Amino acid sequence: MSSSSRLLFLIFIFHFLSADILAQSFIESKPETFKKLNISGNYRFHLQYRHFNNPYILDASSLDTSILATNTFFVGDATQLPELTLNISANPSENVSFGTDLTFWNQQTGQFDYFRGLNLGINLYGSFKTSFGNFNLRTGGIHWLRLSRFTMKAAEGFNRYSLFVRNPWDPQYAVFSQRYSDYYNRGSVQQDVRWGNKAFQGIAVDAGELPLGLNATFLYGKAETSGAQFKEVDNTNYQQSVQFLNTQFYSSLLPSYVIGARLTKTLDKGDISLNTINGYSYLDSLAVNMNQYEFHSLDYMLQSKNVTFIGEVGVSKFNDLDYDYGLVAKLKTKKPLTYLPLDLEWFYIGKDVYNNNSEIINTSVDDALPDDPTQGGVLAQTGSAILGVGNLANNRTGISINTEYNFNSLKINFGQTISKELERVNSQLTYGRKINSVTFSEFYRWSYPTLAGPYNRISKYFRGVYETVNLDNVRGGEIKDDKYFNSLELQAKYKYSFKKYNSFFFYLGAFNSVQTKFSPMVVFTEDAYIRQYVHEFENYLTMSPRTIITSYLGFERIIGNYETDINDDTFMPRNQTTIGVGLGVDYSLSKNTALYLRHRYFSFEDRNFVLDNNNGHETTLELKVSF
Amino acid sequence: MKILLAWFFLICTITTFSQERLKKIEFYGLAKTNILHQGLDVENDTTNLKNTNYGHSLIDLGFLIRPGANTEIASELRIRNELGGFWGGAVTYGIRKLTLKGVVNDAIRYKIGDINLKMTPYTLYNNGYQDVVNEATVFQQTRELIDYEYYFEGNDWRQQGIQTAFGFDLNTKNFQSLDVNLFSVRNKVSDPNSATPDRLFSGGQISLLTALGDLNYHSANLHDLKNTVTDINLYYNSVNSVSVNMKVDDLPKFSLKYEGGISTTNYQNVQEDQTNTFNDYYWNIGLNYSFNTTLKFGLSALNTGPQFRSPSAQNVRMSYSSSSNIFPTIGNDLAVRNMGLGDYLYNDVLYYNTFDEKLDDYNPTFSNALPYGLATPNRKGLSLHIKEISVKEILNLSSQLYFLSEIVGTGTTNLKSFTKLVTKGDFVYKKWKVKGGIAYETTSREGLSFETIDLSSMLVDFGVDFNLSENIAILYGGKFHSANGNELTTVYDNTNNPLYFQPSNYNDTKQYLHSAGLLLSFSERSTLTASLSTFTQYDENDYSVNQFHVLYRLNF
Repeated sequence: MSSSSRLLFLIFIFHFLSADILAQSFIESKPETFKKLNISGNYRFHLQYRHFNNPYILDASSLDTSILATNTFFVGDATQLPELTLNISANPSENVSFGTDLTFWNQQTGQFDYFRGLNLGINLYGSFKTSFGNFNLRTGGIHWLRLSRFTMKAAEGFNRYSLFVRNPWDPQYAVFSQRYSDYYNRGSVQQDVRWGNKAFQGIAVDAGELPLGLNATFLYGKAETSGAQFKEVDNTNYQQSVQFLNTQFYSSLLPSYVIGARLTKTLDKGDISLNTINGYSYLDSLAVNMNQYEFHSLDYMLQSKNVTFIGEVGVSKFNDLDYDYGLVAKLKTKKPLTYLPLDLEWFYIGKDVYNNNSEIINTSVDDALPDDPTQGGVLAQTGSAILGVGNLANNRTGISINTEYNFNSLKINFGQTISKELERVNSQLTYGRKINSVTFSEFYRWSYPTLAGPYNRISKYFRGVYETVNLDNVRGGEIKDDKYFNSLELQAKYKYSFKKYNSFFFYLGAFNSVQTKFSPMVVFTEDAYIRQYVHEFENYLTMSPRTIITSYLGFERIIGNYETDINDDTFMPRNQTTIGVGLGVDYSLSKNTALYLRHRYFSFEDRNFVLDNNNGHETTLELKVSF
Repeated sequence: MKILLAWFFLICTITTFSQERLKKIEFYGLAKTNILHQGLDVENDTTNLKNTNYGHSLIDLGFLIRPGANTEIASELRIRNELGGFWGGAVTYGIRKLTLKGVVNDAIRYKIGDINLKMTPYTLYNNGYQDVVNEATVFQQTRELIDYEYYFEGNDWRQQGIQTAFGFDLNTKNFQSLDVNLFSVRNKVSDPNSATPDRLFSGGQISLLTALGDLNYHSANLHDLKNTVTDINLYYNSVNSVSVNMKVDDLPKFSLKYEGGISTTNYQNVQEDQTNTFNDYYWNIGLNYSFNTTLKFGLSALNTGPQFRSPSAQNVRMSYSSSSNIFPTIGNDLAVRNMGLGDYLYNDVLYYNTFDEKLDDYNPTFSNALPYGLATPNRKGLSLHIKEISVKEILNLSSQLYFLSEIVGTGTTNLKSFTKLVTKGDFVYKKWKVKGGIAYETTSREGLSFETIDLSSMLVDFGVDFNLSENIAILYGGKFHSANGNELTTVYDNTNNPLYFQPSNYNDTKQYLHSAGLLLSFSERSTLTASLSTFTQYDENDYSVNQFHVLYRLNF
């Protein structure tokens, strides 16, 4: 080292030793943060034990291997709803927010492996105001939304259903019996955001307070009818390094989508709206073949003191079919005018009307779509469907009437639909099994088979099954008869006191028939292809503010005539009897925590199709904690 | 998975119980929805998918957890759902970040986990995009997303390891402070199956701040660890440099910059006990002159040796050899579709988020003069910078001009010459904002017909924003790229020496990307961009891609 270098080195060392260590500021550059994150949700432990006295046959072709096990013990909800739901949301600023809901689910198999997912997806919101109007934006999804009955909406019906089977999304109330009292008082229980709405992913813009008193909605994205297909995602081996790619999880990039809009003019006493929806569902891997459909409609709601007019009229087009039209017109009156409140509806839905995003069940257009929802199918029964009161199907016209009357604590409501198929397009009928329907659907826990079961006539949809009936009505290559549908529903709700607490008794009767001639009433004779009679009795006995004893009796008869499927062995048509007997207890453990125990004896017998017979017992235990 | 769940419940528990009492938890993050609908327009094609529709929504939920005043844990949980994935389908979870940082004795700062590192353009530097000059706002919205997804923060590299920093106050007139910054990260994990050893990247810098400016020492070392597998080959690279930024009081308008260093690279064949060593050096000296606060010039000379190797600074950000999953083939003969500007911005092309010892493939039509940034080996020449011209705060211009050549010939004794001009301008007036930029490059080499090279390329960015109101703007953006001529692109061997030269011909190829859209600002940090775009490529197979894009970004 030279002398000059040595000198420099010494100077450096001197300065080094005489230096003070600098204090460091800890936070260099931290992201802007906010402190409030909203977390709510529920925990739902669901245990099910099922015992067959006479097991269900899945497939008649191999009886030795296709019979459900006599005893089944299952932890979790068979309709794939989660054990734990965490709703996470935040409003980072005044006009933006986001929310998501993490779901976790463990079948407690001893493997400690948790399923996880999202219930409603990832939802982003934004809003802003301009001098032109106010705008709300929704992106991501699943968003649950509606346009109109013909364009995008789920059927709500007339709220006639059983409460004995609990839905996973049923809320818990501060007053424990409120679920039953709400149904008695309001005719419905509180439903979650899905009720009456359709699932949608993409972007939706709502514009309000526009000039001329207009409001508008625009949406672009994917509905259930245009879902995508994905590879199996393995979150265990999910690598961070590749997670950014936009298309990495897709097995197909087919551009199925819907685009829709609604423009509403608010009137002094009602409103009038223009609606449109246009759907593109691709059927092949090259996106050459697709279902392209459109529905454009006008709907209105005009009300006076005692009368309300509600309706919708629109035109629809599906692929190369000609434009066809649908119309629904409803008149609602109040008590002072007609003594009984009336709800009268006339509907006409053309044969070539098609829109699986609407309330209209498709029974006449062959869309070649799979029924399995995991492949983009739609969970609805097809064929000439027996749908009950107030529901819409294409290729059909009819009228519905609904009314109600109260005698002190007894409330009675009644509804009837009489309808007819417009054209003779198929030789099939479908009907949903009403009694034990959730139990039946859980015979197929993880799949949505069509035309399954011992006679290939059972199809599953979400929390229910329906049967397909083949008709012997083709002569000389032509369908020889029309189909007329009659549905009648009668409901009675009674409130009484027991030990000073309100208790409730409900009855629900449903009667359906399909026949070749017009009838003002449900046909109870052999003239009907299919007759369906259903009786459901429920009692909710409040023993204390924390204890409710629940009981249930359901009875269903389905009878086919000799123009329907005939069994090869018995040479007889359907003759089905379904029985459900239930007993249970709702017990409140603490605020927001409750135990729901249900036991059900279920029995299904078709005297003339002997392989389709099963009965057994099912016990479910649900422990639910809301927070 | 269990770790993920445990992590989540831990976070929730800590959040629930500590949020109000201790206020030690803070949240931040980003949520976004990204939807693309694309259509391919090409003649005579009946065998390929020509329309696509896809997208996703995600939330990155970041947590800052502070157990004490001097410790902070930062973590980001990602939840993502694909467009069209109903009923819980196509949901993924991931951890985007996990970093612990703190201070020991109020003096020594440390970070462990995911850390960002940067030193100088020759030692540790993540070179920027080659398809950007001065991009329009409508494109910037997406570009920022790529930055975010690949952790591109400026020219930092996101790495995983440990970093520490401390400093000394020297308390003298001439020597003010000494700062030390050290790091060690793992660049590659061992794999016994391929006899790949663990590889570390270690180094740091020491900065001495003096009255004349700063004097810095940098060291970057990429090296395999012995005996982590049954070693076959071991790699070692070390770059050491000194840089100076100096100002003299007597010449306040001038400043001097210098950086120079050496690199050593060893390729050791352990089994044959043979080592190939490559040493080289570089230097870059520049003089800056500030005419006033709105006009600044710079002149630099540079020389980077042909064997200079600095893996952490000699990178191309995007893999030009990757192909997009969108319309991968076109035409009935299923020809591979050449990617272009539209793909780089919107589609799934591979961006490198780390570096290795190999010199990456590059596209000479996007950058041939300096494909690996300033650290590009085998370059010498001059550069002139007009660093800033500002006119009444409504017009800003800048320009860079390079005259470069090779130091040694590649495949011939003749040298390639390069000219590169980059000019950018921003104009802001009332409700209007106009952006533009042009990058023009030429490459030439004289000689016999087989060694003659004549290549020119141009990249143009242009954009106009018009603010309709405080939170609504109409956007237009355009990008244009052209190339004409030929080049013999170097293909390197495993030791980064030229192996052969790939001939490439560009017969007046052109690409256009036009985009028009609407920008809605919901808050300062949350925007929605909806745009219609057309990308057209005139190449061997002409085609267009039309696109509808929705991007909602919500920062919180």
